[in-house]
Amino acid sequence: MSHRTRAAAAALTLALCTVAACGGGSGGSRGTAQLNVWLMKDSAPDALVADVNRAFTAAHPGTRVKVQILDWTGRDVKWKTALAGDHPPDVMEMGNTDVLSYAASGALADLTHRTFDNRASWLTGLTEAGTYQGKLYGVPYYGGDRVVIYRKDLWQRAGLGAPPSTLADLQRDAAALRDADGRPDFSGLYFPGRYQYAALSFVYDTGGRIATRSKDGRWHGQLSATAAQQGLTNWANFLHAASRAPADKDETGIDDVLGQGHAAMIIAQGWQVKAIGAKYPQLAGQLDAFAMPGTAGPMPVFLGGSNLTASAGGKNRDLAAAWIRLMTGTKYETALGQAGLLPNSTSLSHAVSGITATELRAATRSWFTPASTHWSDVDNASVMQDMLQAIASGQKSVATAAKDADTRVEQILDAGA
Amino acid sequence: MTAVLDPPRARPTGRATRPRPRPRSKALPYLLLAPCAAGVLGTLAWPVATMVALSFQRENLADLVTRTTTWVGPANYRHTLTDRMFWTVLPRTLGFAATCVALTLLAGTGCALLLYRASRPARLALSSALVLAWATPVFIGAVVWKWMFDSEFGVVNYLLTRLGAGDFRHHSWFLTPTSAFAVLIVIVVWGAVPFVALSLYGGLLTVPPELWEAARVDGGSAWRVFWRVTFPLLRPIYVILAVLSVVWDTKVFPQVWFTTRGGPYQGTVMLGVYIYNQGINDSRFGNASAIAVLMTLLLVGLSWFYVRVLREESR
Repeated sequence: MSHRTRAAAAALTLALCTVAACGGGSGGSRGTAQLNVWLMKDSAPDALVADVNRAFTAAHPGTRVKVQILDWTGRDVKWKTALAGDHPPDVMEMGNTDVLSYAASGALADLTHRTFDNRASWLTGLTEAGTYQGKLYGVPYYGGDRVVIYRKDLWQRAGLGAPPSTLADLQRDAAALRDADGRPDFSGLYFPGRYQYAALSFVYDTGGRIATRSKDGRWHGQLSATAAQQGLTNWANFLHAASRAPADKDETGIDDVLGQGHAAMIIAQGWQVKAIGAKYPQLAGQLDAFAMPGTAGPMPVFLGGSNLTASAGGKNRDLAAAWIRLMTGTKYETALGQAGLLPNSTSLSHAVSGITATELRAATRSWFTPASTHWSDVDNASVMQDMLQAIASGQKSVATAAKDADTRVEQILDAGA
Repeated sequence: MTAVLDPPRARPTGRATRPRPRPRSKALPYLLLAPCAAGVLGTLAWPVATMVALSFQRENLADLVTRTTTWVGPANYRHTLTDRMFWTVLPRTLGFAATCVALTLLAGTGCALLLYRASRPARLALSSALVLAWATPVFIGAVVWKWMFDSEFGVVNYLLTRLGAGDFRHHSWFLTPTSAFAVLIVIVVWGAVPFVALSLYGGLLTVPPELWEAARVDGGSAWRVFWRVTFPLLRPIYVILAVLSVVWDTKVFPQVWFTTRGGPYQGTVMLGVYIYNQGINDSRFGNASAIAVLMTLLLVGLSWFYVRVLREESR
C-alpha cells in the first residue's frame, strides 16, 4: 500500500472506533423509572423478594425494580462509595448497628412523615436503631437473636432430659456431653473467643453494661464495673468448662463445626437450623433450639436485625418509600416470620412458630450496643473482640482487659469529628 | 594554473568529513514521550494532588455525602504528629521494613548464587518456582498463607507435628503480635525474594569469571571471594534493590490486612493499615490523607538518601 492509502486506512479505523465507542453510551430510559434496591445476603428469601417486586410493579406501572445482594463483609465501603456518588441506590438494607452513623452524616432520607404499617407496635430495639435525633431514618425490617442450637441425638445419648434453665445447669450439661463423646477436640458448646455478641450477653446478664453516656455527652466505659467484671468472669469460666474452641476465632464457620460433629451445641441464629440441615442432610431432623439461660432466668440476647433505609440523594424517593412500605407491610412481614426471621412488629408474633418462636421469646430480654454514631469505629477497631480474646486465652486478667477496653472505647467514642 | 583555494575551515584532522543528517525536528523526542508522560502524570498527579489537598481539609462521611469542603489548614498534621498511635505505628513500620529488607537481600543473594552454580534442570526448576511466587497476586498469596497457618486446619501445624518439631496441633500463630509478625515477615519475604534473586542472578552473569578464579588462586575463601570481588561489582544493583525493597516493605498493606487485620490487639497495625483504618473505616479522609502525605515524604527522603549514595558510587 502506498503511504497515502495507509494513512487513509488508519484514519478511517480511528473514526470507526470512536463512533462505536460513543454509540454504546446512554441506553434509552424511555420513561421507565428504575428502583435500585440493595439487600443483604442471607436475609429475606429470594422468592419472597421476587413476590414483593411483582406486587410493586403491578401497583406502580412503568417502574422496574433491580435488586442487588451485598455481602456482609465490605458493605461499608460499598455504601460509602455509592452514597458519595451521583447515583446512590434508592433503598438499602442496613444492619441495625450500621444505620446510626449514616443517618448522622445526612446520607439517608428522613422517613418520619411517611406512612408505614404497624408503626405503633414496631420492635423497640429496631425502632431505636433507626431513629436519630427524633427522626426516623431506618424502618424496622426484621429482627434476629441467638439461641442455643443442640443435637437431639447427642443429648439423648448423654442421658440429658429437659433443656437447662440456668447457666450452671447448661455448664453441667455441656460437660456431660463432652464426657459422653470423649474426643479431645469435642466441645460441649463450641464458643470461640471472639464471639462478641454472644459473650457480651454475660455482661448484661449480671447487670453490667458496655458504656453509658453522662449528661455532658461524654461516654464512659462500664466494663470495669463490678457487675460487668462478674459477667466476664462467668463467661471465662463457662468457656473453659464447656468449649474447646480457639480463643482467636470468631463465629464464622460455627455452623460447619456443628455439622461436622465437633460440637454438640452452638449459639447461633434460629434460621441456621434449616441452613445446617440443608448443608448436612444427616442432621436434618436432629437439631432443635432453646433460649440461652442466664444466672437467674433467660440470658439477655443481642437484638440484631436490619432496617430499610432510603438514600437522601436518590432520584426516586417517593417510590423508595412506597417499596419500603410494601416490604415492611403486614403481608410480607408475616411471610418473613414464617421464613424464620423475627417480624418487625409485636402484633405479628402469631406468625412465628417452632424455633423462631423460641427466638421471639428470648428477645423479651434484649440488649443493644451503645447508641453512638462512632460505635462502628469501635467495632472496626475490634476493641470488644480483642478484650474477649485476651481473657479467653489467659493473656490478660479480666480486670486488666476490661480496663484497657474501657480506655479504648472512651478514646474512640469521645473523639472529635 | 593557479587554483583558488577555499579558505581554511576548522575541521578535525584525520576524520572523514560527511554531512551529518539533521534530525527531522528538535521536538520529536518530546512529542514521542508526551503520550506516555501524559498517561503517567494523569494517573499519578491527579490522585496525589487530591490527596495533598484533602490533607488540609476536614473530610468525614458527612462532608463526603453532602459534598462540602472545609479547609482546616495544618490541623490534620498537628493531630497526627501529636497522636500517640502514630508514634507507635511509625517505628513498628520501619523496624518491620528493615527486617524484611535484610532478610530479602540475604535470601535473594543466596538464591542468586544457587541459580548461578546449579545445573541446568535445577536452575530451571528454581527460577520457575521464583517466577510463580512472584506472579501470584499479593492478596491471594496472603490468603493462602493465612490458611496454611490456620490453627485448626493449617498445613504448617500439621507438617510441624508430623516432622516431630513439637505438638503444634492447635497452635495459633496469630495469638500474640510477635508470632503474627513472624508470619507476616514470612509472607512479605516470600513475595519479595524472586525479584531480588533474579535481578542479582542477572548481575552475577555480568561478572567475568576470571576474577573469581584469580581470587581463588590467591587463596580466598568463598565468603572473602563474595565480599571482596562479587559484592563491590554488584553494589549498584544492591542499592537499587535496597531502595525498592524499603519502599515496598514500608507500604505493605494487603499482606497485613488479609491475615491479621492489624490485630491481635492492634499490634500489627503499620502505616498502610493505619491509613486504611483512619480513612476507609472511620471515614476520616482528611486525617488519613495527612498520614499518607507524611509517609510519602518519608519514603521520598529514604530513597533520596540512597540515590545520592548511588550517584557518588558511579562517579
